[in-house]
Amino acid sequence: MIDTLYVEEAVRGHPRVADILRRFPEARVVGCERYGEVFNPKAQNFGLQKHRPALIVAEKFKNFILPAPAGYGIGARRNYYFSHLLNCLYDCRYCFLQGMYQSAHYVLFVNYEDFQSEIRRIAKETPGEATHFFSGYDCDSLALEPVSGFAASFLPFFRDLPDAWVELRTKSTQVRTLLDTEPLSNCVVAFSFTPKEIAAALEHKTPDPHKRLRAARRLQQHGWPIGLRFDPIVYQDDWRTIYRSMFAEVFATLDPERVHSVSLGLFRLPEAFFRRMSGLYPEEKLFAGPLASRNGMVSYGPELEREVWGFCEREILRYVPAERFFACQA
Amino acid sequence: MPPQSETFVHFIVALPAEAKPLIAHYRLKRRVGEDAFAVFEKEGISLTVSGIGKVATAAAIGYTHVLFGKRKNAVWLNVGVAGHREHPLGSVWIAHKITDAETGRRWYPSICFRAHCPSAEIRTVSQPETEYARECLYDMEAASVVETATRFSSGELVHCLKVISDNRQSVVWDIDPARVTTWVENAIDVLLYTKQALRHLAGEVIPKRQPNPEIWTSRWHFTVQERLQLERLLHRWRVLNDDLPLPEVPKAERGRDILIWLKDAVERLPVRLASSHS
Repeated sequence: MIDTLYVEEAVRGHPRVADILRRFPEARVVGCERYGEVFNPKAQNFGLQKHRPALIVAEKFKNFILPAPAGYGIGARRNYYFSHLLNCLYDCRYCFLQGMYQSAHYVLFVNYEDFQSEIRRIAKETPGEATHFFSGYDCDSLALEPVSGFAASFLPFFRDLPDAWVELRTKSTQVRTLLDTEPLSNCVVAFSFTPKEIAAALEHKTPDPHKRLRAARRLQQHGWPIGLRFDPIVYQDDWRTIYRSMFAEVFATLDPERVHSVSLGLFRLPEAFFRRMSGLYPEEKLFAGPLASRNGMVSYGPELEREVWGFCEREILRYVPAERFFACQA
Repeated sequence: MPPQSETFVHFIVALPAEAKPLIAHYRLKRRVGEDAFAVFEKEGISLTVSGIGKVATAAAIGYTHVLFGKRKNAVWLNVGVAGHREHPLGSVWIAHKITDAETGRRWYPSICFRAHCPSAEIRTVSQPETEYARECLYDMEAASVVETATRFSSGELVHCLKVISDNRQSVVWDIDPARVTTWVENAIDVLLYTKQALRHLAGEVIPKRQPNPEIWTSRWHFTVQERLQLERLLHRWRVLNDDLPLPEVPKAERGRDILIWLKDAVERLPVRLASSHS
């Protein structure tokens, strides 16, 4: 899976790095001073690197936990996100990471304990009030679990911090760690879903939506709070039919009464990201569709946006009450 | 010269002895009238003999880039000899890290294909290295190749392949041109495979043939801004409509009217992502 490992010299002796090196005995191992030397140079092509992304193992020194953008949340007043991993195993054509980063290589920050100290500090600022921490903003929270051991490290940590909620956002079916763990009431395992037609066209290298749904059901039956993320909603000419069908299937497979939260967001990108992504994939129909630019963001035109949003919102509210439905406009 | 929509490979080699096997294999022809560098070519391939060192290499790459029409995202492949303290003579290596020994600058070429030879770090030095103090290859061009060629192509398409010509048992002063030619000849399979793999990657990022806006701009006047809109709309039409031709263009006085008509035609197209050919 990974044939090149870049290792910051400063973390070469870290136990997590030793585990990773053992896991990929055939990989070429290249030492570097700082991950940015590999990750940030301009003359890189995200699409070409997606053929064989490397894993960069690094240490993070600051900005461990950041405030979540306005409009990003599932009910708490205080929302933060953190990124132990940059980039994703999957290759979804709508994903903003392609527009944000020069490189498709994965960057794994192995000093988890520093993230955890900062989470603890922030959570203790408001005792008795839930603070939400989102882990799948710049990556898929679980897809690289066998390599990163992220959930295995962070779940016991959050178990001891009941006011701190963590969202694991994923399209992965790597749920073994979770099934082997006593469910946490303050951990939402949030699965992203798109209709199978859209997934087949745009979500490359991802598990089939049916398999994701089965993984979500197993976790729900095991007692884990499950979140549903219908984001991004992507337009194509039979959108009503395919989205209605997907909502029906998801809510028939999972118990809607026990779904923690549902969020909805339309396909949207900052203009600069859109320009870069449509340049990377000029033949992609998604980028040639009925899009419009407003306030620095590219999304569907206002009329279409209202129509699609209204339809999806009505459909979702057939299954879950409004207090568990969240609009995601960040 | 092949159009910009076809892939192109530029070989950069320092010495005539390194170039010989490639010229023979591809049956390259010397380009007449080029005095600054010996330049060879044939259908989608060029080979430039740069001379030794970073300055000569940078000049040769810039010269080649302009000479062959400033191609975007061409493949740049540096083939040459390098030293290492113990690697066997004639063994072939691809660079995964390149350090300019003078400036300390570093590059990390992304190997986005299955390499057919082992990879190594290269230190580019200004004088031949005889101590082999570090565990790496020593050459005199690689840093210049990546620094210069990545101005014109994406880094994934710029690589350095090195054949070991000297080590502690056989020092750099003993190298003779005939042996260099033999080593490169023996490495030809790796070179061909690498070139082919890179050409395949380049095929993904070279610009596709676009609809020709001249057909439109010769009939109607478009401002610079309108011309950009026209190109964007023609592109959307082609992508959404799988290259089907446009319906008959209505009679119109002004380019602006054409844009309104074309925008309406594009917006009416059904969006079917499933048949996307990205």
